Amino acid sequence: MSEISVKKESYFKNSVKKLLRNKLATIALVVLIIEIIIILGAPLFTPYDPAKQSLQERLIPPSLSEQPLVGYDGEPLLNADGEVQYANFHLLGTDNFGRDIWTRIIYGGRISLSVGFAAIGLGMTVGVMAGLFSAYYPKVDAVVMRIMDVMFSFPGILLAMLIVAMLGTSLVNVTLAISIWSIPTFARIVRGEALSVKQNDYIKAIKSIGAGDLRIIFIHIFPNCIAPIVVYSTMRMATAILSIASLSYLGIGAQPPLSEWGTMVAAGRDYMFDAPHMIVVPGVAIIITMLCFNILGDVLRDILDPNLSDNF
Amino acid sequence: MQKYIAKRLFQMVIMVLGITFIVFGSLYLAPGDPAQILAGESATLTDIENLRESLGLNDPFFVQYGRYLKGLLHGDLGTSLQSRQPILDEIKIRFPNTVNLTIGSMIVAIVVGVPLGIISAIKRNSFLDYIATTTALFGVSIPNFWLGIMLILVFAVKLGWFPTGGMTHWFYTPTGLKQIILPSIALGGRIAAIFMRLSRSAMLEVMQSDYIRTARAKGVKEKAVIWIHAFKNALTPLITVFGTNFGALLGGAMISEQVFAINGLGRYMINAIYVRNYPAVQSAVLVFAVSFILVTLIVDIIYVIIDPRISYES
Repeated sequence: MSEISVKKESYFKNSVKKLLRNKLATIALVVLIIEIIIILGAPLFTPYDPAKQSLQERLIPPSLSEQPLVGYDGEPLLNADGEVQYANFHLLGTDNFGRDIWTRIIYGGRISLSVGFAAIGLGMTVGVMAGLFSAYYPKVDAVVMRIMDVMFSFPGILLAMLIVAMLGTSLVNVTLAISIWSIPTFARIVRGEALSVKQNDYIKAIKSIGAGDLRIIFIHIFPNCIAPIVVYSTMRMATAILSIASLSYLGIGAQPPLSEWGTMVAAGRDYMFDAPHMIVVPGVAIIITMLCFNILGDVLRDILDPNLSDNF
Repeated sequence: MQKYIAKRLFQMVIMVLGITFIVFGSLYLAPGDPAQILAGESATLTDIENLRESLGLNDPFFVQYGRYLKGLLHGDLGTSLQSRQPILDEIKIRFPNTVNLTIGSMIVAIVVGVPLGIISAIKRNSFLDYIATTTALFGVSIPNFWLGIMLILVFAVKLGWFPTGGMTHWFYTPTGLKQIILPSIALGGRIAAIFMRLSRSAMLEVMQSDYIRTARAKGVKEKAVIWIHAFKNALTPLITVFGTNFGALLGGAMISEQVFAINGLGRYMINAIYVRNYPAVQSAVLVFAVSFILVTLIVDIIYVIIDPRISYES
């Protein structure tokens, strides 16, 4: 008798396969991976220093070739032999201090991505804990979820601003503010999921053979809540990156001379007529990143958790 | 029904109390001594101590909180550390501009977002649907401060169609309309994209339900199926979303006000953050949060009135 072989495929592998079947999601994933590699290895991808000023080379537009140096009077700068002098090569141009914009973009990405990951990581940890324990212990539920309700009634960006206003403008405080703002949604999503998992017979069975509460919560309930957590974290990353850029644009996030996408746009405002690339380039960087996270979030939701609503 | 409204009002009072507590608590914990700031740089320690005593800053936390609540009930939001004027008066001048901007953006979001979503749901997988969903994806991915600057650059500076900023009139006056168009697009664009995606998915869900099939089977014309049977039911989930997104609008209003130099509450708050004018920051947050709660309440009540399936008791 021939054996029937059942090809077993893990949930994770299966989900990744489904994700890669979607062309748009694959492109988004590849773009994000390339972006992260460039940002992590920033010094390998640029010969310049993000903070180094070179006033002779200020406001050079983006181009594929070396541009002639221009004086403040608009005339080309000549050297002693009367030849036109050329600036170093700047693919995306330079800003008002002659700093290379490509360099500042990739170094700035370090801030956006690290604050984003840190904020979501922190918010997720606290929110997931709150959700799991609320679902398991009704007494905790009564207290914790009421606190979450009050937090929910506070528009997120306001809460973030209140925190930054009280603690002072620094990247750590912005990270903290964005993570606190993510807690209530994580808590609600996980609580809802955990409550329905808790009803299952196998949880009762495990309990009856004497498993401890913590074991049930973390080993048996938590793994069932991972799908919505992954989906929401991805979507939330887009919001987090947008928030960092917005707060920095308003001058209460990353502080100059630190390069950050939002601060770069703010700095470009004064030069928007002469050097629109100072605004356009960092804006495009934000849009590409947000698009990738949004597309991934959408596709992941369709694959992992079709019931999760569009609106948080 | 009345019972439901009464219950919601009671909940709202609790929420507002919670918010005043957060706001006051953060003021209490904020670094810096208000007495010292008010007394000025030349004040002696005795002067500061006397001022502390007369302002009641030496009292226990809950005594101070009680006094703060009492002040709020009398319309006293405190004194601005910067201008030494009552904060209520300063907010009174600025809040209408924010309301104006918010209404304008909501109109943009609803007028653009909802019809686009419905059309792309009806013509699912068509070229139009493809264009609309792609636009919406960009809509949720473009930061509104950046969109605002781009709009200024193209439509105000290059084409000269609209002013570059400022707000002096309400949106329904001709001058006001010209002033509000760009900021409303910058602020409402993202929400329009969210509404588009939501109304599309709500409409798609309704279109797949049994009663739509029944309506078609009994020979109801397609237009009537869409507008009379489907649209009304797709609208109900959207109404709650209007409420929740109002908070996003308020948050975005701060940024839009800054970009378009509108003298609104958001800009007031950001300037207060720059100079560490804590009482002003707190009052602005309080006004924003209370208006958000009020709008959510109104939306919830409308929801219950419109959708008879909702039970008032739960």
